[in-house]
Amino acid sequence: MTKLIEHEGKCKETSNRQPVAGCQVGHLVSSTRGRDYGRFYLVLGIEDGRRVRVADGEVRKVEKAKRKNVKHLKFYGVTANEVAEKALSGKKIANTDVRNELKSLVNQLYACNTGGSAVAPPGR
Amino acid sequence: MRDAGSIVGRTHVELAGAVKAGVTTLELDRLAEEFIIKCGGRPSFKGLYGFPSSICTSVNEEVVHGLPSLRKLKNGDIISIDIGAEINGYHGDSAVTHPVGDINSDAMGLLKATEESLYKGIEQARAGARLSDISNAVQTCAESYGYSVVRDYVGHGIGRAMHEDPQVPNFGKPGRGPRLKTGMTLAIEPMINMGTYEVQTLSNNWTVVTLDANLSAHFEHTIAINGDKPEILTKR
Repeated sequence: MTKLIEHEGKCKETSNRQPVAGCQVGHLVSSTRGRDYGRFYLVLGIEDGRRVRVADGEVRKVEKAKRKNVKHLKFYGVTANEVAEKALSGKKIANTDVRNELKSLVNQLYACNTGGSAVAPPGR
Repeated sequence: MRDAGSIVGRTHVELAGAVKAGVTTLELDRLAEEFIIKCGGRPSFKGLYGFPSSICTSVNEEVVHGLPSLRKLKNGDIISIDIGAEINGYHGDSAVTHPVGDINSDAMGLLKATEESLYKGIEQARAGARLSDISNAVQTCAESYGYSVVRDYVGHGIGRAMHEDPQVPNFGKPGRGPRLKTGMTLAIEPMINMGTYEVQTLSNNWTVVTLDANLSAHFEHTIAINGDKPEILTKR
C-alpha cells in the first residue's frame, strides 16, 4: 500500500495553487496538506490575505468551520451557487446545504473528468 | 520478511488466474483474503488506517487504494492489485497491474513501461547507493516513454510495520537521501500515469484517481538490500 508523501520543512509545490485573490465564497476546494488531505470542502468565508474558512457539513460543520491556509488547498474553479448566494445575502447556511452541494459538485467534477462514464462513490 | 513476501507473491499468482471480464473486485478481495489466511498469514491492509478490505483494487484511472466493490471487470480494463500480508510480525507488500482480456496497445505500453521502471529502480537498490538513485532510475525510465510519475504517493520502508522510514519517492535527482545499507527492506512502487501526474482523492476518502481520468499503472515489490544485488522478497 502506498504512503502519502510527507514533506519535511518547507512544503514543495506538487499541485496547482491559486492566490486568495481568486478565491470566492462557495468555491469547491480540497485539502492538500494536513490530516484532512484529500477531503473536499466548500469555502464559507475569507478571513484575511492567507486564510479561508471551509466546511463539508459532515466532519467540519458550518458552525465550526475549519481555517485553512490557501496554500494548503486545491481550487477546482467551480462554485456552489446556492451556498454562495446564501452567504452573500447573510442567510444562514445549513449543513445539509453544504453536504448536498458538495456531493453534487464532486460527482460533476468526477463525471467531467471521466467523460461522464462514472460516478464517484458516496461519501462516508 | 521472506515468509511474508512469499505469501504475497503466491497470492498474486493465485489472483492472476482469477482476473477476467465479469469478475467483481469484491470476489478478488475474498479470494486473496482466504488464500493469505490459508497460508498462515494475515492481510496487512485490513484495518490499516481504517482501510476496510484485504487488498486494493484500482481499475483504469484509479491510481491506488481502490476499494473492492461489486464493480465487474470489463474486457479492455486494467486493474492494479495491491496486496500486503503479515506473518510472525513482519510484512510484505507488492502490487501488479493486470490487463483484463484484450487491452489496447497504449494501455499495454503503459503496463510494460511501469514494470520496467520498477526493475530499473530495483537495480539501483544496492549497498552504498543513495536512496534517490532508485527514485531517479524510476523517473528516468517512465518519462523516457512519455509517461508521468505520481508525486503525492511514494514507496516506503517496510518491516515490522507496513509503513516505515524512509519514504521512497519515484522521482528526484540522483545521489541524495540516506545511503542504503545491507539489511534494509524497502517497498519500491512506481505509480505511472498516461497523462498528468496530478491525482485527487474521491469522496470515499480512499480511492486516488488521476485528475485527467487517464489510465494509471502500479507495480511494486518488497526488496531487501543485500550487498551488490537486491533480493526481491515478493517474487511471483
